[in-house]
This record gives sequence, structure tokens and C-alpha cells, in this order.
Amino acid sequence: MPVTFKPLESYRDDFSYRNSAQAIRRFPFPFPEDSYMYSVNIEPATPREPGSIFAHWFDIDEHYLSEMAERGIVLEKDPERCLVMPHMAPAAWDTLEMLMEHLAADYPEHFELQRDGDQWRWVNRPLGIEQRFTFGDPASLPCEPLEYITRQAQGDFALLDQRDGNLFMDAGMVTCPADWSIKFDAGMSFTQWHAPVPMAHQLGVFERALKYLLNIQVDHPVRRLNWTMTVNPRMDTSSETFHEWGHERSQVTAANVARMVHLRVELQFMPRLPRSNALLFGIRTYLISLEELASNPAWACRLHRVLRDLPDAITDYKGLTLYRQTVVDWLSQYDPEVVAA
Amino acid sequence: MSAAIEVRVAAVRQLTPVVREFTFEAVQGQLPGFSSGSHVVVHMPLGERSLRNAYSLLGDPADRQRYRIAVRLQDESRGGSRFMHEQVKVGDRLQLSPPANLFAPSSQARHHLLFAGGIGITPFLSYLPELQGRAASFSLHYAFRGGLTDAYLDNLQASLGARLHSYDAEAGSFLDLAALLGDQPLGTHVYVCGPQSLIAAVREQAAQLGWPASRVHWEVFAAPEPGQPFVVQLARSGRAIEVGGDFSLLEALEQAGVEVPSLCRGGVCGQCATAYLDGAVEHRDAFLSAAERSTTLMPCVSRGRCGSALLLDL
Amino acid sequence: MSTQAVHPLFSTPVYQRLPHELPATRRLLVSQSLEQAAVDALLAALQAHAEPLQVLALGDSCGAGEGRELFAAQAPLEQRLRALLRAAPVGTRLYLCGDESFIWQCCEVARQAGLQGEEVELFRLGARRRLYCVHCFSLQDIAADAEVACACCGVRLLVRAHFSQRLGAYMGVCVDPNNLRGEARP
Repeated sequence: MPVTFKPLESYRDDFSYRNSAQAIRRFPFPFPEDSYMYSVNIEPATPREPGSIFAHWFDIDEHYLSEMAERGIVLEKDPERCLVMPHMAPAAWDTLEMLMEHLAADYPEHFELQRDGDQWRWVNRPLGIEQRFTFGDPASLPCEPLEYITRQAQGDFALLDQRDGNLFMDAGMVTCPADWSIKFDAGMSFTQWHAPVPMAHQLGVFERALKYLLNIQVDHPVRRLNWTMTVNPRMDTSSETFHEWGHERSQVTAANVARMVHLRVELQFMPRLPRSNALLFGIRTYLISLEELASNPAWACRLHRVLRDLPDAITDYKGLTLYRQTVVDWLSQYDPEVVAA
Repeated sequence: MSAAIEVRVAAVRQLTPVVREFTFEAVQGQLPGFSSGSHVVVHMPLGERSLRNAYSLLGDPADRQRYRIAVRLQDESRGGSRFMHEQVKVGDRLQLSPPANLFAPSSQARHHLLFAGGIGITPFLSYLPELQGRAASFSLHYAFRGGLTDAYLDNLQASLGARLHSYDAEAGSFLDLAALLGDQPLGTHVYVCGPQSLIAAVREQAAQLGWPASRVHWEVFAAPEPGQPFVVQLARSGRAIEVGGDFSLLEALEQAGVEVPSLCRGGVCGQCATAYLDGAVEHRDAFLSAAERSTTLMPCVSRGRCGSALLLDL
Repeated sequence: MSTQAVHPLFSTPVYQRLPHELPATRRLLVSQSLEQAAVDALLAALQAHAEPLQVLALGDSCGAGEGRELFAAQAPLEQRLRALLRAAPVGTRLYLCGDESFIWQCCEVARQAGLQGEEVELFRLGARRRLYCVHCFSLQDIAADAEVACACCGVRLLVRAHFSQRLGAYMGVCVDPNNLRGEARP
């Protein structure tokens, strides 16, 4: 089933972003049970049913045009959200090759790739791009290769250099992070950039996850889901812009909570980059308002229980403290146990 | 565990009396790409059983059409290298585990100092196109026995010129590690592949001269050494599996349909570490700490002891 | 959020009291001062090694002597350090002693010269440190404060324990988005 793109919607100012019924159906609801705790929930990224967000390595959905326009706005204000240390140039080309090959194979109606040795031709129909270039020659592209290709792919991308038994975030395109900063975290090891996460270090989660990620082999990617919540459908909830959006957390009321508060789910996808041996860390973000989510009452019921019982340290870290109770109160109408009581 | 790739043997070349080179092509589709320093594990059917040995990929990583490996005939072979030398012909089909890399060049190096001993030249053959391609600073020191383990010497001389330093033991020429390691610019990383004695000498000399371990990279591709046969019990299934003297515990488990994740198959990477509950173990790995060894073993190289039942938590 | 300013994190640097007993062919100490008692203990430990110790420090040049060079400012000191490292072989160990602003600026010189983490040992003396404003990307020196106004954009910043070695700085993030500069949002 070919993807059809919605006309441009906004992730800022008037926040016109909405999900269609189909987008709601395929939303990656992240809770397998009624409570949440950190775990090494990494699994082999085996393709799943067509149409699901797990069907392809790189998911393209109805928000494609809007998300790419939003990325452009962020980069216009802050070009260094795309950052490639010199030793990561091969990994940037690797990423370009992987994205182009998979997008062209998985969405032939939208993307096309022709290769003749190092002479490549790339077509992106939705964005009206046709580009001939020499693979490996940055001068043959309008901008640096990681920036070039990730301006055409949804989600954030971090490129991790593997050395000394660790992974170092030495490149990335990060315009829609959940409250972190690529500009600050660049160059850090896996353990260092996860430093602010509470509890998980003590549980040994990062140690085990790192061991798993270091051994990922070519053509055998892994994935996991992560989640948080965001007030308004705002993609760029970076630390850089926290002073511009943080106050929205105190604007949530019983009257606006259903439309204003969004569950934010990240599909993290980690393939080995074959030529550079770097690890690609894709972070594909999905936003859904509570109102949209409650069209599936089972999801609303489960989210109610998860948020109600969430440990305070995690609530605080995810930035939910100010409005958690308002959300829990609203969701309780979908929990039969509460309604019965 | 990752699915095996089926390949066809496209070419076989005898490089020296003891080194034979094999070129593989995909039977279906395209071969997975690989990075400099990667290896593949070749599955070798020996009668009813299957040995698995790791070999470095020697080609240019930019070439997605074929893989090349070189195999040295080992005097005390468990049968793997002998099988490759005597049985494998052009047109044969073989199974490979996909490429993995435990010996990548460091992105932080300002200068790469490469030490190869004999067949240990193989991982560097995939380094060279990469290092030359990005105009990196490097030098290759290649020690061998002339006419016996000097594979690729002519090609290397032609392409590297003064960056190649060769040492022919037959001609009385040997590496001077103290001199070489004592005078390298800051930012140098050293890489060594070859016999255990060469690796040990480089690591020891580097440590004495104040090289931090993170600047010293090494890879050993000795197939697991044979040992005494023993019996292993699996605690969860209650099965008993006999491990022949010529087979590693890992191979015996795989043969019995028990897949344990593995990468290097040489006791280095830690991927196959498995808990055991009882029995005497002959630890042969270079990964586990003394404390870990009381509960964990690495079946790719380590063995149970003859006459003592080994109980694995599998 | 306030707890983050107090507890160390995995990214918070750890400083040593005494140097590691590790082999080296050459040892180099760069110190912000030679006049504090704590430096004497470090000097004594380093001088116990057989290899000669070379010392670069800030201070009055009349204190210079055999193997000891003094500089009036950090810039010429860094320039001298850069020149020494350019000619140094692997096996060189660098010891940096001073406040965090001083240490991490020298560390950057060392990194550019090709030294790696464990070849550089860090000894902290003094409270001055660097803060990175995550909103306007400016760096400023601060003391032990838990909160401070950004000298560039004026936003009140919480000083987090999250530290970037690349920037040599702690992360400063807006304390109260409802009250950016100590005044309520318009």
C-alpha cells in the first residue's frame, strides 16, 4: 500500500499536526504491560507486517513532508544540529548509501537510485529532488552527505564510532530530540551520554545494552522502543530550545490535556554501517495526542496505569512532574477498575 | 544467531607452499559489505560434523562482488586448514557466517603502525586500500619465512614502496620491536596479527615503553587447539554431548543444534561466554577475569577436563 | 532537577590525588601554580621516577630552573606545551594540575597533539570551572555555584553535573522556563 503524504502541517506555533485514523492504527504503543521499568528491550529488527512501522528499515509515513520542512526550520536557526567530526566522513557516506538503497527498494513510487560505479543518480519525488553525484566526493553534493540524506529521511540519526570497547557519538543529525543536546553530547561515550538517566545505570541496563550493540553485525540490525511525553506536538524538544518550550508544561489543564499532551514514542533502530564499522542509531519519533490515543481505549487504560505507578525519579527525568496528575485524572475514565470503584 | 551466507568458490590460488587463497561469490543476491579488519567464519563439513574457522577478509572493502580469504596449512591442524587446502575446489559451495569486525583501525590514530607475522598479513590487506584511500599515515612491518609464509610480498612491495619493511627470518632478518616502539609520534596506534609469540612480544614491549593498552590492537586467528575428549551435560535439557578431542566445545554444541552466539571463535571477544554449574574447566580464553572464570567459560576455546563431567547452564 | 546539580554522574570527571604508577619514557607536568602545598606532593611523587620530569607552570619567571619553565599567562604556556608535544613520542605521560577551566583547556591542547585519555592524568586544585550555556552556546568561567545567569544571553542557568570533555564544560540549562531571566514571561 503506497504511502500518501498529508499537506504541510506544523510542529510549532499553531501546531496543526494531527494523525489520520490510519496513522493512529499503526502507532507504536510502547507498553507490553501495565507498568514500566527500564530494561534492555532490544530485539532483532526483523521486518513485520506490511504497512506497520516495522515493515521497513526506515519508516516513511504521512507526515514526511511536514517533518522534513520542520527539520529545515531547525537547521536554518541552528545549522550545527548536524555535526560530523572529520573521522566520521566514511560513516556519513555509509549512512547515505544505506538510506538511499533501502528507501529506493522499499518505496519505489517515491524514491529511485541508479548506480554506475561511483556515479549515482538519486530521485526523491515527494521533495522534487533529482541529484547526480559521485559517491565519496562531497563536492558533488549540495551539502555534506549526512546532512544531505537526513534532510530527506524522517527521524534523528546519531552515528557512533566503535573503539576501545565503547561507542562514541561523533556525528549526528538531531533536530527532534527528547530533551537532550547533540551539540553538548557530541564526542561522548555511550555511558557518558546516558549519564543523566536515573536508575538504569544501577540496574546494569546500559552495560548490557552496550555489550549487545557492540556485537551488532552487518545486515542484522536491532531495534527498541523508548517513550516520553511532550506538551503540544512539538518535534524540537531539544535542550537547546528548552527555554522556549519548557513553560508549556505548566499550561496543561483538565480542559486542554487531551489535545495538548502527546505520548512521544521513539523507534530506535540500530544497524551496523558496513564500510566504516560505525553503528547507526536511528531515532524515529512518533507523536500522538491523548485524544487520538484514546480512540483505542485499551491503550488509554494501560497508559493510565503506567503513568499512575511510574517511579518519581523517572517521572522527573522525563519532565512529566508538572502535569502527570492531570493526565492520570483524564485517562482514568478509560480504566474499568477506576470507573467501577 | 545470524543466518549463514551461501557462497560459491570462484577461484583458488596457491600463493606459497603453505598458503592458499580462495575467492568467494554470492550464490544469491549481493554479499554483505564489510569494513577493514573484518573476518568471516567458514563452516567446513568434515564428514558428519562441521568445523568453523575464522579467516580475515583480504579484499578491498569497496568491492561488493567477492570475498577473498587466505588459509595457511597448519601442521597441527584439526582438519580445517587441511580441508580447505585439499578438498575445496572451484565451483564448490560453502557456508559463511556474515562479516564481523574485532580488529578495526582506530579512527583516532594519527599514524598506523602495522606488524604482521606470516599469515597474520591477511587482515592488513583490507586495511591498506582504506588507509591509502584516505591518505592516512602508516607503515607495515612484515615478518615471514621467505618462500614459505611470505604471501603477497611482491604485491606489497610494488604498492607500498618505502612504507613496507620486510623481515625474512630465513635471511636472518628480524623485527627490532624496542627500537620501533620506542620512537613513534604521539597519536600512533599499533596493530599486530600473527603468531601468539609475536603478539605477546609487541604487547609486552609496548607496555614497558608506556603505551596505554588502548593504543595496542591485536588479533590472533589460531584455530582452537585440540585437547582431550570430554562429556558435557546441559542442565536445562538434561542432554549429554560428547566433545571429541579435535572439536571445540562450541562446535560440539552447534553440532548438537545448540546455537550459542559467537563472533571471534578465538577466546577474545566474549560473545560466547556461557555459565557453568559444575565440573573442572581448562580455561584457554583471553577475555574472562579470574573471578568470572569460577562461573563462566568460553566454549570457543575452553574445554572440560577428561574424566570430570562439565555441567553447563544451557 | 535540583538533585542533578548535586550528585555526580557517569559523565562527571573524576580527578586523582596521586599519579598512577605506570611506565613512561617521558613525564611532563603542567600546573597552574607551583605555590600550593598540594602541588608539592604531586611533584615529589613524580620526581621519584627515574625519567626526568619537565615542568611548565604559570608564575613569576624568576622561579624557573632546571627542567622548570614559568609563564606569565596561559596562552604562551599552551604554545610551549604544543611545541613540546609535537616532538614527543608515544610513552609520554602528561600531568595537568589546576582548576577545571585550566585543566580542560590544556587537555584540549593535548588531545589535538594526539594524546589519549589515559595518557593524561588530572589533578584538580581550585573551584573555577567552565559552564556551557546550552541555549546560546557560550562558555563562561564560574565558581562552585549551582545556579548562575548566562553572561551572554542572561538566562538563569542550572549547573548540571553533566560534563562534556570535548567542550571542557558543565551543562547549563534554563532553571525556570516560566521565568527566564529572573522575571516572569510576558
